[in-house]
Amino acid sequence: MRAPPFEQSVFINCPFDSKYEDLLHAIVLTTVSLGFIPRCALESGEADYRFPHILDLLTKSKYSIHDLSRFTGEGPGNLARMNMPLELGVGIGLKQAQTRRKRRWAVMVPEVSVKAGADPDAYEYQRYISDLAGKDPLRHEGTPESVIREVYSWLKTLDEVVSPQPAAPAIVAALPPFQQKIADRRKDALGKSIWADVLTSALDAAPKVKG
Amino acid sequence: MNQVFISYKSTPKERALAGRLRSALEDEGIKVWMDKALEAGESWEHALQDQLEKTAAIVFLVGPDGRVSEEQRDEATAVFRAEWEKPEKIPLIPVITSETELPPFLKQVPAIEVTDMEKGWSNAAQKIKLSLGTSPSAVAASSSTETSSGESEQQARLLEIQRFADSLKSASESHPKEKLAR
Repeated sequence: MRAPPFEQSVFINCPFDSKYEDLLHAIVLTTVSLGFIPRCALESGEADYRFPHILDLLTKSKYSIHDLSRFTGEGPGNLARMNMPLELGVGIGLKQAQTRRKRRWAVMVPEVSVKAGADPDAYEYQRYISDLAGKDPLRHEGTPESVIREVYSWLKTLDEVVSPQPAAPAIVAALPPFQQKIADRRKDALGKSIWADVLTSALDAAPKVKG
Repeated sequence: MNQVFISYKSTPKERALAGRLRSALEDEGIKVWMDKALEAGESWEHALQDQLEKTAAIVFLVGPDGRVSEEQRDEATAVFRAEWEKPEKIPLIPVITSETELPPFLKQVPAIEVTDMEKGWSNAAQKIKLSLGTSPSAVAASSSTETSSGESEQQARLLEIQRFADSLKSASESHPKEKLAR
């Protein structure tokens, strides 16, 4: 397999359930539109969540985005999903440990205000991941547009972003055609979601800019 | 609106440089906001969001090591988020103290170089004052919606991503994986 350049690789650590799928697509489209290569556990076949594989992808990516949307317990056992915080920890550890290769990570959380309490401006993430106090996360409202806003605003500050960049509204407008292309390719693949098809659909739909 | 925000790296040396720039800007009649204006217990994030509403430009001070710090990049992210639904962009003005390669987000306007550490700040402040009178859309036009007609950096990158997608597809077809729960 062709190894993508480290400096242009963005590891995406997020839920892969159907409820999150639109948001994952928003991340992928924004990442591709700004010239970065999204990498995630879905890329090697239908899914490969083995930890060594995830460590390999993280190690080979200069940048990483970690969405902690699933921070509450779910299902009969009321269990929270710990894989995403675990991978965030690895991302932070890699940055701290490897000085030769500069890395950068971003945490993304749903913007949920704490309704009760003394501080009217407090957010839930300040409670469930208080160790990140002082490091402002990217905050979305659970919509694809808000995810594009956050990922776009972050990627724009990186050294390897393409210049000029497509305007943000053009990326928002490209999202429905992008998702239609994914649906068409999925249909052709007899319902199977193939990461390469997601990437190709993003390439087709990404707004193009002049040199 | 005649206020600027100074973004600088949080080291004693760069804080001192930011202080000199602040004084020079205030001498020009420009109101300056920087983190030392925070009150005890005040959230940096909320203060920054509030101040961006009143800010005509962000001055990014890049010190002698030529590096933009992570905190400065976080501040730039906050600026881009704040201007998401606004028709006018907030100009980002780089002020450098040595020759350096700036990241793309600081290439909207030419950098103001301060070489004379004694008199240079006053000149820099005058140039910043002058740029405040310039239309923001004229200085902050790094994004484009135009369709492609020539080779761009983005097109070269998209080609690279396509090659990667093709190689992924070949690999996944020859080695299908079992689906596991995350």
